[in-house]
Amino acid sequence: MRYIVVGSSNYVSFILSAIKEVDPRGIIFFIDRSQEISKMIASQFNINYSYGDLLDPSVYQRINADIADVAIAATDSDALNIRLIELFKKVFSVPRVAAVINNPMNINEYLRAGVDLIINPTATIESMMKAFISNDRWIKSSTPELFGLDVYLNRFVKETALGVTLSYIRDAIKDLGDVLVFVVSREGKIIRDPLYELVEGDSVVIVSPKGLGEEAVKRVTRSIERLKILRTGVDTGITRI
Amino acid sequence: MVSLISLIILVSDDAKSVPKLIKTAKRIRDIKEIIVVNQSSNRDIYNTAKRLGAEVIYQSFHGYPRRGVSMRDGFYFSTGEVIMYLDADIGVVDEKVLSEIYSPILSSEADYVRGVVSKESNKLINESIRSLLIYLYPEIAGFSQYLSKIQAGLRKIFETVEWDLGWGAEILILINTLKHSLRVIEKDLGLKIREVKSSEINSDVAYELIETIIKKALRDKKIKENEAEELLNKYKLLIKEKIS
Repeated sequence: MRYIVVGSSNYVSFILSAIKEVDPRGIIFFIDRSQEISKMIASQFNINYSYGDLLDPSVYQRINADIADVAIAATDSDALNIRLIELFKKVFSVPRVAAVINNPMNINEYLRAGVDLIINPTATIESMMKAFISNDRWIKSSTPELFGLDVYLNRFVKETALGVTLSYIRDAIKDLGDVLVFVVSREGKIIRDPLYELVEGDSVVIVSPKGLGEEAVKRVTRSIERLKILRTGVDTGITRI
Repeated sequence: MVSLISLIILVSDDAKSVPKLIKTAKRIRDIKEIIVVNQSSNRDIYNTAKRLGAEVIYQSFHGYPRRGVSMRDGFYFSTGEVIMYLDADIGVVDEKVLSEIYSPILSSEADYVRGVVSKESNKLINESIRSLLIYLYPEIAGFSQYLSKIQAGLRKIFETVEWDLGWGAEILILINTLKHSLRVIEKDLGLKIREVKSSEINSDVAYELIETIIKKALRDKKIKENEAEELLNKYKLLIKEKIS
């Protein structure tokens, strides 16, 4: 495949490494405003390079952008990335356009510009931070939009859900269709046995088609709380999203 | 005759003037697009500006003003042949004030126009860097202010500038106009602004400007590394003394 990667933000070397790993025979063009930077990065990854005014279509015509399969806008300016998305989509009709978002508040502008994939590095930071400081809470894991999946995780420490079987959790969401639920033990072992009873430190993982995850989490939460009330007569309200 | 002006309004948390500024700009025939660069996370600014027909973009990086980031983002988002920057904290200005800045460019009298407003807090900054500029870039040492709340220039100035992401952005724009032998003028707008910045903040701004000028002079091979270091230390000391 033919790739165009534009801009020298922090993330560009990771993007180029990923392309090289997945498609070692791919033809990659790296473009930056600076000749020096373009040359340096190109030699580091053994790829082609060009340089110039990043909003000038002739810069991309020179490298035949109209036959590129994938273009990635990876500058440290969201405004520039938005203009690049538009350029690749509307002028060069590149089939797949991805872009790094530096400030997630600009997400609507990226979508309006027609991006196919938003690379949002801050989403990983947010989800890691939430996972690090919270137990007994559902965390939405960051998965790229294009996978069409919602992944939710909850590491149970407090008593709320302990002793609940996996089949009880699955029952709560059985009407939702293709929703996968399993447990990852403290030791990292994946448990699918429906009779397994949750112990302290277990993580419950819910994988669902995009848009169903939140509903699945609500149902599981309600179900666990209902069971707890039945067992103790006390509404703990511990497992929240 | 240049036909398209992009007005870029830089907005921090103080957004009171934004609706009026947009409405004023909408009445000016030569302004074809209004872009609000939101330096804060305030969603109200976004909604208000959008409702009034402006384009809105959030500054790419969060953090203390990052003036150059906002100016650069606004420029990349624009399509105009003339780029006009307006700090929202200038307050409400009328069409006449805006016209004083862009008219000399439309009539080809100037390529870059900087508005001068009276501001007490600018004294420390201006005095500190003027002597450095006299030494390194004497051609631009004669300006009365180095941070302007309102300015406009031909697109080509911003296309070719090395963007500094902080307070040094305007200094690099000025130096860039030298490189391309462009005509720069200042316009005293007769406005007074009350800014409540502490002397510490002003000294931070002055440090940043001095660093930008010295680093640029180093890249332009006007000075060598050891002299750059000496100058940096000398001017940092000077600012410290002025504050104390």
